[in-house]
Amino acid sequence: MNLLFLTADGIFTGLKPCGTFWSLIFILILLILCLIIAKDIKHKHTDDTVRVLGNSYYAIYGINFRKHTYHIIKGSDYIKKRLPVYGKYEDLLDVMSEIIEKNAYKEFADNFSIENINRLVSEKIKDFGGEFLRLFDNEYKWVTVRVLYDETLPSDEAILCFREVDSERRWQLKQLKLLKDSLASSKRSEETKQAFFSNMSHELRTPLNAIIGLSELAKKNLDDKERLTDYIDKIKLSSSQMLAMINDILEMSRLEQGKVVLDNKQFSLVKCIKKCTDIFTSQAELEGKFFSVDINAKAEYVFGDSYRISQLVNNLLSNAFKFTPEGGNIHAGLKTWADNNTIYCRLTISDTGIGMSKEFLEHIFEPYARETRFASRSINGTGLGMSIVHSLVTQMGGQINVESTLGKGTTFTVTLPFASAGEKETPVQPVTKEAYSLNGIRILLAEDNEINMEIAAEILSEYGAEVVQAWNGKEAVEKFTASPDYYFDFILMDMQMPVMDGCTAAKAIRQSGKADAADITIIAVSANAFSADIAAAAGAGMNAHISKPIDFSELYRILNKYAK
Amino acid sequence: MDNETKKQLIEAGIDVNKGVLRLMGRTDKYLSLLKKFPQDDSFAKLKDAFAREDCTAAYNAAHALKGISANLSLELLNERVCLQMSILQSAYNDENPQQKYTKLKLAEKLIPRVETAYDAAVKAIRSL
Repeated sequence: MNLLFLTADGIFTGLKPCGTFWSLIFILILLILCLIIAKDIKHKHTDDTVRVLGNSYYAIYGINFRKHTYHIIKGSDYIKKRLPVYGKYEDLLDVMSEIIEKNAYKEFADNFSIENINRLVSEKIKDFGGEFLRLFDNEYKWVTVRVLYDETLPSDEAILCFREVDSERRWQLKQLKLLKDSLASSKRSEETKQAFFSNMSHELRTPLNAIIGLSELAKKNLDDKERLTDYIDKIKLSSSQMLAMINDILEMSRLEQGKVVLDNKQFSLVKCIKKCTDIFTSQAELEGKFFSVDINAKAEYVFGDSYRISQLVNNLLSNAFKFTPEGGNIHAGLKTWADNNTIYCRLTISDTGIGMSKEFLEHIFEPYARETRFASRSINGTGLGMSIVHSLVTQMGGQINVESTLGKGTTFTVTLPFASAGEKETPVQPVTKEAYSLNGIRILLAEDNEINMEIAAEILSEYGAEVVQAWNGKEAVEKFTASPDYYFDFILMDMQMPVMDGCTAAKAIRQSGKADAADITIIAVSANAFSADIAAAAGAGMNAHISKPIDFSELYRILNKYAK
Repeated sequence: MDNETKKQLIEAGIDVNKGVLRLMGRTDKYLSLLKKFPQDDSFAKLKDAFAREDCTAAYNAAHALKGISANLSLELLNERVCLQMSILQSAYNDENPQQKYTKLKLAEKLIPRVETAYDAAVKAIRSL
């Protein structure tokens, strides 16, 4: 028998069966071996792929998309219990439908159908997948599914693998929610701000329109003195309304930006509340209203900002008085109790005034919230009082509640926590001379009152300072300008003096053109510690402000701070 | 200073200890300054300002009295002046003439309270 072979040069060669037969067999065996090794290498690649995948995927299935079958490479516990290692792909999808979340299953079945896997392979899409919720025992967890396909796999096979990504997916969802929430809240705050500006502009326009209109009228009636006076009085009134509004807006914006720093010091809550209510006792008498105060304090001394507490109480009481007609009752109650080192203060301000509607109550702490039905009454105010109260209470870590019935009255309850400051006022520590020294310091002291001058001069000299006295602002300016440059180290300037007040004098000194005019430290001294005074002092170019009676240790602290 | 004098001053609303401490323990200096207080005309100016319904003058006088009483530790007087001062401050800043007037009158109502404290302090100081 002759066997024909096609040789490399294209010529058929006839081989003799005898000697060459075994060679032929050998070549055949060699070819088969090569094929087996090649297949082994390919299998090895597949195994490697599977091993790598197996580390991160809890289930891996080989899918033969020509035969429509699956085989389990690594099965999930659920599938292993329900299905054999080899089977129809249809069965695998059926069992999966039991554990894939209902809403996601249809989409899953469409995307991972044999047809679609076929399409992915033909389009050479090597990695395709998505995420869905899958039931593990009794709990749904996020799972990612992928169809993988590459050249290392048999040509009719793809791999379907599943990985649990619950914690990372939940983290992502949480981040997304946070992002969405913060977007929404920034949008809301933007809207609130817009509303605030639009209301503010509206509120400011009312007095401003009045000012413009009245100025026009005044101009037309220049010869009628009586009418002119009336217009000017009204212009003044509208301007002062505007000023009050602007002041409140500034205060509100400082509060909102967290720029109001609480000046926490030891103080007596009882004394502070009494001081606030005393003013209103006189007002009640004057307006024919009944005002009662009830103080039940188990703890008195706290660390807090008494100025802000007074501001809060004043705002609440002013409102109560404003909305309570003659003959009505207003009540202020203070209750304090201690719990370990915290002292709680409950402040109740109630009145039998006109009250508020339920709808309005929800908006009471919003800027410019006003019960419009009462617009016909002429209610003075900036519309920011309650917002300021609310911000202050929040900043102090307290709570404010309001109850009100239309026509019957309103009750505000403020609860504030404070750090306890002991049972007694801290005794004033004597200031020892050893601790402080002003040796070699030259101070220009401007003060109009003899006793005050003597006390301040006495204290300063006692500590070694050289004091030059000026009895009013004008004298202070003259002494400063007549002195050699850098002669004085400090100027202590009383705010209120005859001839020339402290602010005018400070401005004149700063503008005097002397070499040290801009550098000299000027400290304002005043019996008033109202923020307006402090602001006025700063506006006039003074460096610091201290209040009377002069607390030497405080003065020394300030002098030290500015000492060159 | 003997105990009797001290007691007398304290009863008149003067915190002697605080005052002496402010002058670094120099009792003699404190007493000599106290003795100048009856000559101070701030209170007289305050009453006069109310009589003339002059808000600015009343504000200035009350401000001066507040400062001196604080420096000398005339506590009772200071407390009462402070209260009056807070109303006067509000009157002083009020641009509305009608409200300004109402507040001024309100502050004036507190004069008897201030006067009682002032008289008590002056009486105790004069007996020194």
